[in-house]
Amino acid sequence: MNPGQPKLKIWVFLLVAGLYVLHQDFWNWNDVEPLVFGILPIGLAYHVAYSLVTALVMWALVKWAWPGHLISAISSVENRSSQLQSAGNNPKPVCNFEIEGRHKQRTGNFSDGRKEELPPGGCA
Amino acid sequence: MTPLIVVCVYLGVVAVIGAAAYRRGLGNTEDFFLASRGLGSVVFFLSLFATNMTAFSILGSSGQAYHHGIGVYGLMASSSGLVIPLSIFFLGTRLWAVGRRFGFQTPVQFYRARWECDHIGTVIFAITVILLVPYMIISIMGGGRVLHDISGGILPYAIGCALVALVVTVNVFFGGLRGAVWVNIFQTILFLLFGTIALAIISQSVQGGLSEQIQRIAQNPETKPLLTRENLSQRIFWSYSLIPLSSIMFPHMAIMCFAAKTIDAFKKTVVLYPLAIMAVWLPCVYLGVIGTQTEPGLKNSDGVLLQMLSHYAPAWIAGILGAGIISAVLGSDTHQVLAASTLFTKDLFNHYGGHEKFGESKSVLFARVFILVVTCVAYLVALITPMRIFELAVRFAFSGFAALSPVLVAALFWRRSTKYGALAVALWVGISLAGLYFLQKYSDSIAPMPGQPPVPIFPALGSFLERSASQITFYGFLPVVPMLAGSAVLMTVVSLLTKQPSKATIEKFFSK
Repeated sequence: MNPGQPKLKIWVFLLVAGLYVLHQDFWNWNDVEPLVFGILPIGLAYHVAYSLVTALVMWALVKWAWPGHLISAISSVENRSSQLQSAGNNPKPVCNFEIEGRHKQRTGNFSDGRKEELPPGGCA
Repeated sequence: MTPLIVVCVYLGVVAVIGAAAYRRGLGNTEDFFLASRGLGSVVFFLSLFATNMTAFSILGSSGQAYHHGIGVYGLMASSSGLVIPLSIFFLGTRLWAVGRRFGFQTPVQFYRARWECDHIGTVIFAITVILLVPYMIISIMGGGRVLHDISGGILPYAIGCALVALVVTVNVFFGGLRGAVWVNIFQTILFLLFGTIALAIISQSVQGGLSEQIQRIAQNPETKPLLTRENLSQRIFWSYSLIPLSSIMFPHMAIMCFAAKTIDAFKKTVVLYPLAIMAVWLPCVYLGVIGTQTEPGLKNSDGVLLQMLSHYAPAWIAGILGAGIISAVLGSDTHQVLAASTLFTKDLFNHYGGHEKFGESKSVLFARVFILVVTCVAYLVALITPMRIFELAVRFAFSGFAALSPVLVAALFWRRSTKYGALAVALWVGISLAGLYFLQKYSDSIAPMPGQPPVPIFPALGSFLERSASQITFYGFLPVVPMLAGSAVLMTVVSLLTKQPSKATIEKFFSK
């Protein structure tokens, strides 16, 4: 992450909050005029523009506030899976984490028969 | 007759695509329910959008605009265009991550592991299913009604419902999620184009073009309010901005989040979602308003677009556009049926020993049998029950799912949250909805006519509880406002008062 990114992230979050507030456009409530392009009453034109701006803000959110850290925890699971794969005889071990059952131990099962405890990691 | 033939050909194609997906199946639940978590970004976007769009987006939006005017777009579309992508960004990506790490296929599996709870997970499961099932049934009803209308009344409603139920069953029974998403690609493109094509054709054909029609509406004092929001309360308008929080809580949407191949698959969806909603809703709302001039005095305003198409579009184009509407019906209904099957298979059958006893392939068989049974039951219920009952239930479902959202937020973000907090929210939502139903029925006799101001339900309480033409309000706000506020408070207070999960569990989900 580049050093300016956390600041940008905060700005993008503020932008999102501002956008939510701007949805309540009480100032257009009773107006028809101006008719944008001769066919769109101002109240509708505002919300069309709002949708376009929302897409831009979402782009900014994806660009500068993407939760990329979520991948690192998953990568660690997959790396350990591939390490086991290269150490074992089975050419294509499949990682299939058991989660069924009421009180079953949650473990990683590999098709070469070994089991591994799930590593800790963040979901938030 | 031509539109009906085009739509029937389309339904046949949908069924064949679903059956073709059967050949690619791997015979395990992860493949059947989640297409082996392999959806790329474009497919994920098209499929997630199809999952969330129903016939209401096309027919209901134009019907609402026919009565309430352009305000419907801001009320439901532009707010959804903001809140839904945000919920996908903040909650959907994290659901995907826990699903990928721990193998969860349903949100209830996550709650059970996150809060070390068993029966409380079952309570949340029960509330979820109760809120989902009416939505599933009304989709079949909507499909039957659309086919009946498109055929000009030739195709009976019961046969229309049966056709929709059959195509959905074939699609999901054989193809699982893979069958559904293959069809979704085709469906979403159809209904994304629907509005623009319909608007282009109708604008060429109406007298004087769109500009003259709008001027005519603006100059008539009776119709002018359709171009403003003067008949819409600002409190109601704001309340509606909370409803889209329900989207990610609908199980068919949450389960879709588990099916993405990578986290990057969410990026296109987050950015394109507002534009896609605009592409569907703007032409429909606009045409609904224009329809007040070209099709005056309609009793069933939801049929305004179909009426306009039958008057202004060539029969074969009306057929293709009709297929676009049916796409919206099928796209969401297939995912609802599959989600119901996923919940019953994973959260009940497998959780209470079915998987250990019968194994993986029998779980898939259970899921398929469940799909057959649930669509048959939904079809029969659709035939014998009045639609208005389910319309009410679906309206409640949106408020209910929105009020459940603090559960997911707390599970993903708040270490200190507890299973008792989640239980309190689930009970609060159940009790609130039961109370709302009672108030709705109690106040039916005093409900004002559409367009008239709301009346107090209990005069001694003043404006605390009021009844408008169709709904209950609290100080002028929709029920979703106190329900959501109550859920957030209960989740916080009850969690702080009760014992949190073990340190090991918290570390498992939160340590970096």
